[in-house]
Amino acid sequence: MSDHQRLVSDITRHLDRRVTALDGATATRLAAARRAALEDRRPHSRRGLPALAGGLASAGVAALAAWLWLAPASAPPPLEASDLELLTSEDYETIEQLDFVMWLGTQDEMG
Amino acid sequence: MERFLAGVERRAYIMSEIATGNRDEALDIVQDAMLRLVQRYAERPHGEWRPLFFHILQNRIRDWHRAQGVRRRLLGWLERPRAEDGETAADAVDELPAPPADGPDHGLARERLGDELERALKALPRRQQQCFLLRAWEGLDTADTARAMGCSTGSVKTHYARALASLRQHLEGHRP
Repeated sequence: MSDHQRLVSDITRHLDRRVTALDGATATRLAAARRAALEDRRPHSRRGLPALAGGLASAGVAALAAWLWLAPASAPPPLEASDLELLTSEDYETIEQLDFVMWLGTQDEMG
Repeated sequence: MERFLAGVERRAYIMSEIATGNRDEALDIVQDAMLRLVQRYAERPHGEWRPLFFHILQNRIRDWHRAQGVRRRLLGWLERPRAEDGETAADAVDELPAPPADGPDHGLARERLGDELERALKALPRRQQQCFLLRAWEGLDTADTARAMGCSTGSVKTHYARALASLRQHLEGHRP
């Protein structure tokens, strides 16, 4: 073993002894600090859910905008009586899901 | 993550204590490093945790030293008497005769050598001290040490070589 290796070995052995001989109070405080750090992670992940939902909603809006922008320009089909009925109806759920309903319509046409 | 932190927390504490010379500050630094690792990097691959954790730890130690530097400059006249006390105590220890390593006072000799080793470590410039502890004690390879220290692998090699030379010089005559 070279002198350098012996020196490193002496120092690391001393430090290892210090770790082993760490007093109980310090060890307890370290364990408490670790638990606190890990505990802090949980609320963050819960807070992350609304942020995730917001992100998904934004992504959805962006995707819709891109789809509308990139969709081939074509003359809209003439309104039919059923469309007017829908627009004047109080079926808010249907109106809120208008995009989805329109997409269903295109699927029907394609199918 | 818990197992990882439990595995490094004591060594991190000793490193911080050597770097700061203050037990409470060392505990705060380790706690902060654990908190930041969990908050920011828990989702990263496990293999990255060790260099990331020690990177955070070393940054916190650096921040602590900077804050201390500012505080010392502002309140130098308050800090001076404490430093002088420390030097006096160190000088008094230096004057004690070294007991023979193989005699009945072997335990005492080991303790004294330990004190001297630690004093030599504390006397190292901060970057050399970090580098030595991460490479030699924590067992990080050159690349991970560079990642933890935020420097090049070449700098790690330089710091490590200088640290070894300084330690050897400091401990000359103290080791059997």
